[in-house]
Amino acid sequence: MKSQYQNRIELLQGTLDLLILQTLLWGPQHGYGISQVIRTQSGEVLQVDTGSLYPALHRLEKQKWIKSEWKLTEKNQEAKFYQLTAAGRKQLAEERSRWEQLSDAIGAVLKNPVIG
Amino acid sequence: MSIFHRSQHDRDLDAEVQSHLQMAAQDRLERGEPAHDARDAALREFGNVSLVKEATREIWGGSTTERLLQDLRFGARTLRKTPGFTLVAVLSLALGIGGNATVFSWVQAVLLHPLAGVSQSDRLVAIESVMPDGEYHTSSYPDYKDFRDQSHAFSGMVGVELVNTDLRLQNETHFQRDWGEIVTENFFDVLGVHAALGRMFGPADAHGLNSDPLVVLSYGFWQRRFAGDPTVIGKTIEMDRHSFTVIGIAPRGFTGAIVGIAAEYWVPMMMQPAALPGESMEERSPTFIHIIGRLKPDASLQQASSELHTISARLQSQYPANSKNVGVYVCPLWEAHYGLQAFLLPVLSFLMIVVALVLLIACANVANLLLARATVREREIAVRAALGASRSRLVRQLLSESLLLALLGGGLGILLAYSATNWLMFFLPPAHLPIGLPLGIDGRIVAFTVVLTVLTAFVFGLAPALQTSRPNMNRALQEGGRTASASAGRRRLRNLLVVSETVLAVMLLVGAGLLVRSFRAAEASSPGFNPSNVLLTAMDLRGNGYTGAQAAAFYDRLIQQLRTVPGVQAASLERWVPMWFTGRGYTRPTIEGYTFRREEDRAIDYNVVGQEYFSTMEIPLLRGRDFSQRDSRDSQLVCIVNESMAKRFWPGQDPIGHRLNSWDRWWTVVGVVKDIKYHSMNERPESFLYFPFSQDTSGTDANILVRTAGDPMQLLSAVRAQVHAIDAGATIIDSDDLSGLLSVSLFTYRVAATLSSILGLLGLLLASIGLYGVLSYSVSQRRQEIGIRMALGANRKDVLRLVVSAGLKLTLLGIAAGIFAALIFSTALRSLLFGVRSTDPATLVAVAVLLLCVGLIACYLPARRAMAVDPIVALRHE
Repeated sequence: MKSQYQNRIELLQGTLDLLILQTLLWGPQHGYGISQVIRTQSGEVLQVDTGSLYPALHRLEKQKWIKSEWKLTEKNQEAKFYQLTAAGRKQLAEERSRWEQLSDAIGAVLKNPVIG
Repeated sequence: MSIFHRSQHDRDLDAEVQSHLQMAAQDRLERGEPAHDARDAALREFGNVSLVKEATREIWGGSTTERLLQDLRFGARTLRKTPGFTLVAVLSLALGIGGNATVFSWVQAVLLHPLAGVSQSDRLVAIESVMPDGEYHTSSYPDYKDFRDQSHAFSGMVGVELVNTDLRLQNETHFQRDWGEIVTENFFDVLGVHAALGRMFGPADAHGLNSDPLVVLSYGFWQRRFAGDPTVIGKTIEMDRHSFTVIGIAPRGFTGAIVGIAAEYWVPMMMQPAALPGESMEERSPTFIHIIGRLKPDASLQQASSELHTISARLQSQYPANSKNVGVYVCPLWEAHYGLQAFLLPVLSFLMIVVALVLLIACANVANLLLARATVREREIAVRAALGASRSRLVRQLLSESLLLALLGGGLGILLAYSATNWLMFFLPPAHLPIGLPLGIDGRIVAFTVVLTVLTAFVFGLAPALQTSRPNMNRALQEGGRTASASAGRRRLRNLLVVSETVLAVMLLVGAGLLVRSFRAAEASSPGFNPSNVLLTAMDLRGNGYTGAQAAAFYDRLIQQLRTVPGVQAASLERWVPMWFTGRGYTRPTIEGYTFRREEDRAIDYNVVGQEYFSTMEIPLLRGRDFSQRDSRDSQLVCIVNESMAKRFWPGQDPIGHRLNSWDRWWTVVGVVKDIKYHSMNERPESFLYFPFSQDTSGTDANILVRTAGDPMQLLSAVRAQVHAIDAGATIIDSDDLSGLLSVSLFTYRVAATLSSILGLLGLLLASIGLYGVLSYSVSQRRQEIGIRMALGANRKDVLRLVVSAGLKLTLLGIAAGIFAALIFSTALRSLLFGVRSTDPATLVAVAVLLLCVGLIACYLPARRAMAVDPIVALRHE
């Protein structure tokens, strides 16, 4: 049990929004699907807590970056599908460049040899 | 509309979560897990469904009311899970809030809106005469007219005289005594009271003295005596041998203009000489009218007051004979010196303080319980905070739980107030007065209770909510909520609450102890006469058409007859009953050979008594003789003084033979009797005079005293028979056992003692619940520590000492501070105390010991649990 917890990385506030928007870039997806995609694509490292996922989805929808629609899945189940809006795409681009800046900056700090 | 939206959102979210769970379970099924396990695993993986839903709903916000409703729903769930806590909290709040609502309903009925059926009663003011000795008094009819006609601040001014006359309906043989009001003709116009049936009299009905024998009846009187018969209009009523025509019925609930006293009929002022013979409408003295003015919309009380002072000054110089040094006093109706409110104001002030204290204790207690519970809920709060609930959100949530508790308590409280509102009668002396107060629960009281309830929720809920909503998340989550111990700040707050509860309980109990001791002392002390085995019969022959002299002759004959009745040991009569609430006489005599100092109070109370009065009442005669058959109207006028009066005016001399002048006549002292209690048990010795019935013909009323060996009520029918043998129509007002009446005169002590005992015990109960709560939680939190100590060799005694000493420290601190506070507080009780000092050490020690014992029990129960801790079990949790 313990090892599993250690491998999990808690998502920083705001990062989850980025991941959701990114996931939706490939097409409409429901909540369960989004959590599965993030988990698989992160190599099982990122576990999305439903207690964070659903509030995030609803928040994004409220901000009109995504919109939702009830549809049938390929397995013929009713599910609420989210998809990116035009505003959402713009937001994704912004968040992404911010993330890359942040990531580069942190990377630069970490690459410097420790003095002392 | 938005509520509808809300539920649509909710349904949508439910469906979304369900579909998530289904898909997750489906995936697991396809991976080959058994159906049952797949579903469970999906649920487990998902986490706490309701918490997720709540966190998501949070995003959508919604209006404040929706959030509140949602918070309340959540609060209700939480409260249902802990029924014991909820019950204790709701009950203590119900007591606190209910007590306040009840007392407020009384304040409302007595002080704020006492005159039912009167429009805009807050614009009414009382106008009283101030006698040269500073006493507040009624005014004369000419004074009333001058005030009315010369002032400009009033839109109307009425005069009211309270009367108690004998009434007889058209076809009745016996008179019945009822209270009513003789009122100026503009009375109903100025008060804004309209007839329920027929019409009210008005200024147009005033044609001159005794020319308009009209009467308006109260709704209650009409229902009782005429069974609500609408043809009553035009019928006549006989009142003191005069016929009055019924012209109207007052609206239901209207009881007249004297607060608290329910008038049954109203007669125009011009009929005053007929309704109440002997009082003059032209003289400025004596006075008999209560004046009530209605302020103009733009006039202030100050304006009205200064205007009336100007008029009064003019009257003083204009009529020096009667109006010299007679001032005027204007005040809101509730401050008037007559009526029930004058009597109830101190009682209500005391009660208001007391119920506020009880509510504070209840708040402290519930706050304490909430804090104790917060320790247990720390993990839940931490999880919710981790899920993104903001601090303000958590505070709101916790506060709405408090609000729910307060609402339940308030609801129960208003039911309590509803059933308790008539208990006000418990605080009224059982005088022979019809009490009429608009008691009951109306919209204003409900509004007051709602505001109080919400306020209460904040008072007891805010501190715990602020404390609880700031959990140490890491610790709470990591430790799994099992051993989370209360933070130092929270513990301090709870200790402070317990100590203040103890302080309040000590104060209440010391007050109760002092008052109970006072009651006991008052009950045990002698009034100076022997009230046992005496039957008292109140009579007044005025309604039967007797003059004072005729009445005196009647009573003389009656007493002679009564002495012959078997079983009667002694019989006599008196005008006023000592220690009773109604009536007293006083005179300002000139004493031969004595000069009053300038500031000395010249008024001396007196009573008019029959022969053998002192032996009937068993008041020792110290010198001289009793009144006798020789003392007639034609012989020398005589009086008897009490010991205090003899010492005051004739120190070192024999008072017998000295003279004093009252009512322009000289009276010779023929005897000295021992002092008795005249007005109340804790009065100081005062001068007192007795005049003989045979020489005083000013009144038609008397109280007949009959002493017997056994139960005085046995003589009831014999006394009545003797009365009616002399005059079949003679009016007997009432008969009662004198000692029963006197025990009633202890009612102030009894009320104070009973009430404060109930409140003191309540305070004690609440404080011990508080102490118990704090200690049991501290024990449950320190389980491991206790386990370790025991594993390291501490025995049960050590554990007991550990827990009990913690609780004892709080109790002792509370007792010490409480005694200190009580010493300050109890000086305020001084006027209610009798035979006991406000610093009575016995009471203080008894209260301290009682609290210590209760504190020990409250400590012992949790301590026993702590001793039962099995170190193995306690440590295994680590």
